[in-house]
Amino acid sequence: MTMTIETRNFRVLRQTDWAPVGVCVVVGPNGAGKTTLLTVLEFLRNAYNRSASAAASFDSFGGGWGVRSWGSPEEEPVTMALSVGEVRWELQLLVQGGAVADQLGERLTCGTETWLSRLPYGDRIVYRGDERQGDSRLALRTIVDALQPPELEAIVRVVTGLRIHRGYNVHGLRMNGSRQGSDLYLNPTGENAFSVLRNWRDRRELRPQYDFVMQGLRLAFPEVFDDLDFHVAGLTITADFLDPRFGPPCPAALAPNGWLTGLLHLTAIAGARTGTFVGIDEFENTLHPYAIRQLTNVIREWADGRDLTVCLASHSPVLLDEFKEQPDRIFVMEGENRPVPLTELYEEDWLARFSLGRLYAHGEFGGQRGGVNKVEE
Amino acid sequence: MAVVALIPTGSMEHKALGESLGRLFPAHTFVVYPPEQHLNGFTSRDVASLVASGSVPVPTELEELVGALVNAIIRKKRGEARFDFAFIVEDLELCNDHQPDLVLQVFRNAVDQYIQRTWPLKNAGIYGEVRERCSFHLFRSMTEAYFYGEPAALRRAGAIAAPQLPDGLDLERFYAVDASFWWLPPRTARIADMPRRFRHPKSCLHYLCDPTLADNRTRYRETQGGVAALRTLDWANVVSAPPHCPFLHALLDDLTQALNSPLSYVNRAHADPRCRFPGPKNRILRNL
Repeated sequence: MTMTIETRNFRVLRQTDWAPVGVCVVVGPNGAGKTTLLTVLEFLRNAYNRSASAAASFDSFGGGWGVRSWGSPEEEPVTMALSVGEVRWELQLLVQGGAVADQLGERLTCGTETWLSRLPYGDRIVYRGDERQGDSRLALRTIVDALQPPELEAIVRVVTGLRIHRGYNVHGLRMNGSRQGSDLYLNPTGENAFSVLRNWRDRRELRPQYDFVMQGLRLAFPEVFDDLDFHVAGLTITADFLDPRFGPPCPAALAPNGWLTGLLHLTAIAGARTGTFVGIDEFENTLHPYAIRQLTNVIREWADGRDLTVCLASHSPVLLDEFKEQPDRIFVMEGENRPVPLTELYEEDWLARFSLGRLYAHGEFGGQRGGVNKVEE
Repeated sequence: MAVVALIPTGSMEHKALGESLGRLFPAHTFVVYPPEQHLNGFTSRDVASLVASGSVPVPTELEELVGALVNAIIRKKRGEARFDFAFIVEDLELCNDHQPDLVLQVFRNAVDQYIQRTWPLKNAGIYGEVRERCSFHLFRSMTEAYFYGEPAALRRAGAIAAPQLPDGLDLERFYAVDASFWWLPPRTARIADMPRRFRHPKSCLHYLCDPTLADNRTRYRETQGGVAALRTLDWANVVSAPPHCPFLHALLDDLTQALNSPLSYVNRAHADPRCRFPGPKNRILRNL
């Protein structure tokens, strides 16, 4: 699945033309836009599922304030676009009274052909020559709901399959467990993880996903993790971590943060539909370097087999070293058009001589602007 | 009983080479070092184009490798046994196959510079320790070449087809004569393009494991099939055919000398003179 994300004048992402592929990593200084990059994708999915105004009201988006890049000319629109293959879907954001308006400009093209358009502030949608009335939904959603056109299946599949994880509620999961339900994929904060895992375990066709998570945990935490045991009390599911060394299980309430984080990462990846995108912010938090490496390897293996695009936003030199053989999968938040592949900043031959993690730690790329690691020419 | 720090530079070797060599010397202990993660080698690119280390304040992979070798026998962590010997095993790779002398020289010089830089004063003792207890060896052109010396190893690696190889092949000058392998289209996933392809043992193994080169389930994986092949590799069989794998022979001979544990199939005369023990009079390492 080839996908491209574009932005113009959206917050710190003045200009983005990014084509993530496979399992990749995004690095850069604090404030450079790694999280904002994931916010774009999150917004696209939420706006499709609900509306632009509803998507902007999510805490993770932060409302209409500061949508436009500081210093960008007012006459230039704020746009986001997602391309899947030849199909490109673009939104032109409008901010009214401190809120993102629902009647934003919208266009969908295939190659040079415009299939769908809606003018900013307009309520008429034109789809392949036919006009119809719009409402608070995005035009794309309106057309898909009405016509289910097969030519839009691929892009809709990607949009609805976008999964962004920007801060698991590990404490909540540990203390409160998961609410029992029929969930089959991890929600953004991870609070339904135990419910999801138990559902996978108990459904034959989803059992491989459960097995993937368990195997990944065994690899990441060898000698201390063996299996999970679930307990149901009323509407709450909790889990015990089974340690092969000791008899009594370890309840999730006492489990180390790293184990829970590893479990959440693997569950996030395993629940992603084939051919879709998963973004995880600050992947390395609470994880030992050994666990980072093992999780990266198993995630890579799983993603390869399911045509997943997985983006790990990170500061971790350990994680970067796992991309030694794939420096083109490292994207750096530097320069005007960001992110940029590391292989566009340095020749691969030169990069091959060094630990990429060390180069990053020393500010050779993605360094803090004006920091001591930068030498003025 | 001696403890040998084995410093391989690939994930497969990190997982299996210690166990594999340890089977040859059961009275001694092989410890893979560093334990959690393999270091990267420096031969994936032409070593003739190595950048000068002074250009950036970050050590190169070569320097990290040298540091690991020297410090394996110098440093002692409280509560841990000291390593008696430290061996690096690095793939020569095809891009450096024409210049093993240069690779050996580059590494030797790097060790010398590292000791000078790290211990600018009073380094005679360090040099003495390194000279007696540290070695650097090459697998030519890569570990997978040796799998072809034992048909069962290829099967453990996942091969479902037999290789087509010339009679009397020198495994360290590997080349395949399978025309259908040669004529696969360029930029085919997993395998090198021609003209390098027919000399690339790993590419050939990818093909033997999955001739379609499209099945993710059956493809060759270093950390699975490679480990299975390497872990119980029949080294005696591998070095049995002339010219007896001179670079591998140098490693095995060096180990027999260090551990005072001769192996009937290891003959110093078969070891490549450029890297066999003992090295020249002005050697920095045991063998260089």
